[in-house]
Amino acid sequence: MESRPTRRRFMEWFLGLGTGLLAVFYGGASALALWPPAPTSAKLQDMGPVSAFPTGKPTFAVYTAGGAQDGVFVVSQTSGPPTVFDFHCTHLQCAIQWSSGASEFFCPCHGSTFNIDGAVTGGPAPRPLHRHFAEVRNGHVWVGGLSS
Amino acid sequence: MSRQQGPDESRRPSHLSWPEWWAERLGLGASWREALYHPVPRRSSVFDLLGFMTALAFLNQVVTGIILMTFYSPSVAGAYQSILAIDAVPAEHFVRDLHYWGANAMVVLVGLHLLRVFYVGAYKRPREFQWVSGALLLAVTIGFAFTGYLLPWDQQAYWATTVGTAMASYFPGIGSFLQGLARGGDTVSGATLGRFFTVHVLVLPLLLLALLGLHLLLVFVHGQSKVEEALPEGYRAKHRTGDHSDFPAGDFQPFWPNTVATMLGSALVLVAVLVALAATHPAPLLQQADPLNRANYQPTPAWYFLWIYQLLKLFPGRLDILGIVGLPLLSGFFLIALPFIDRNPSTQRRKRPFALAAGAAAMVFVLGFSYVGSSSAVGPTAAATTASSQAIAHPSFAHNVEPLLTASCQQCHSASSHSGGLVVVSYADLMKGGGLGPVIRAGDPADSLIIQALNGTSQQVTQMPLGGQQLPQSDIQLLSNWIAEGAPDN
Ligand code: FES
Repeated sequence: MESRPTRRRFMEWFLGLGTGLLAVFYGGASALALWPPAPTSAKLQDMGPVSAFPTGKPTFAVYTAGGAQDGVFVVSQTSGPPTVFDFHCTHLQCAIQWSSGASEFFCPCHGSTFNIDGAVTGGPAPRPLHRHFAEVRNGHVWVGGLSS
Repeated sequence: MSRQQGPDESRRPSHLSWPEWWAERLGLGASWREALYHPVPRRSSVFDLLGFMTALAFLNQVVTGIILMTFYSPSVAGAYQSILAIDAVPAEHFVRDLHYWGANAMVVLVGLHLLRVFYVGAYKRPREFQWVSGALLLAVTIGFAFTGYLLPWDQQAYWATTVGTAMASYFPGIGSFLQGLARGGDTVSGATLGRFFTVHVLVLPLLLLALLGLHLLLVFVHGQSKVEEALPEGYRAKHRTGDHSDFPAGDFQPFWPNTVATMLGSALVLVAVLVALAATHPAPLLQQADPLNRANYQPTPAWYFLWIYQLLKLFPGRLDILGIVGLPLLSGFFLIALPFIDRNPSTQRRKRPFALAAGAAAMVFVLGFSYVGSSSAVGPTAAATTASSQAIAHPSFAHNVEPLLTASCQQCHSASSHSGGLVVVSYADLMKGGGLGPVIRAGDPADSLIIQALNGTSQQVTQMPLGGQQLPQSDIQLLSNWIAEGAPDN
């Protein structure tokens, strides 16, 4: 007499737990596989001697993150480590170009412009250019992942 | 009269027609009869066929897609190469062209079908979920277009996908997560290609089939609205019992074979159009994707995104989020929830002035923005014109001329490639000229070689840009104006 409701409750409990386990297992496996990697996970890379990067003029360089190439602009500073800008526009990430005539970065997609410090001087870009982590070691410029 | 009931009843199968035989095996009862022979108004318009033609365009995508998939390799190293290989074989190239035009046709047809259903008010009770499933099918179609765009892995694919996925990053709170989820990393890469490929060939087709199944099932359950309205009172109920005695002949015809024949006719027309387009306008393929964009490629949006592209220009700076996230989400929500928002039960046009006016306004908005977007977007020199909007009377070298040269000429006339000895990177380079001497005569545009070359009127050089399209007149004018003013270094 007593056993029926207990058994029934056990069945319900089992069904709930079993379905839940399956969902967690497959959901978790998918999430693990597809979760985006952290943005700053790439290692520091040697970009060459400091002398290759003049002050006052951005120099294009290639930074490789996770097997994918990314463009950066290196600008040496009179003191301290160089500033390294990611070459993706902060609006919708088209590739920016440096215009030596106008002395500014411009983005051909919707016309954003940035000065040599990365600040927005025109167009729809909502924020300054993203910077990469950078330091000087033994006279070489080393660049890392995005820092801002 | 009907056959005699008797002991032979059990051996009936040998007398069954093939649809009856199948109906029995599939447990369809008499419903197949109803489906096959239901009355359809004789007078019908091509608009009634839009839904069917959309499904047909999808069928075209399935067949051509399977063929393409057997040749395509979804990797950074292989994707572009495999497309080149496909394009090298005329028959395979043609299949790709068909797939390309089928995709465009699907977007057009699903849009027209939606407009038609909206116009006749066929989304109202009890067909709300026909509309909802249809709106979701539209979303899936856009998903197909978006993911398929990346697969050829050319410059257009790469940079349009970069911009498209960057839009997700504007989503409040979880934006960068969404962007990373779509890309599988910081930038568009092989990981993105793998994700997009899988979604394009597996996830979306499954979703589409499920939604289409629901969509068609509901058509079967509720009937087509205009058929139901035209049928005589009580006909449906009798028809369900298998009694077709008062089939409304005259204004009506049976679905099979009359309407099916019309559908087949429309299928032939659609396929003929696709074949004609594919034969005359092959699917484009640009240079291989270059994440460093060394050739300064400037992406332009697919035509169905032009209106969003143009819209974004209206929301400057921090208001961008309204255009990038707010408006698309809001329009999507409105579209899906329409049958629950528009509670007006009437399907008569005169009684729905507000809904029809709102729909018309939305159409004018989208078409207008698409038009403005298309005339302002395209061309490699938009760089010069977007930065300073109009054709400029008093151009500055730094702000107008130099960006134009950068975008249109420096691919060949840079310090490293210096075609014809000409370099146009700095003011001094430009004024120095090339192997044929100076290209600019300050104050005299007509006598300046650069203008002659751009207009294609020079005896000495072929028309520039070499192998490309002529620059827009506004750009050539800008350059002329600048030379006329003495070609100042300003
Ligand atoms: S992506 Fe640079 S301005 Fe829009």
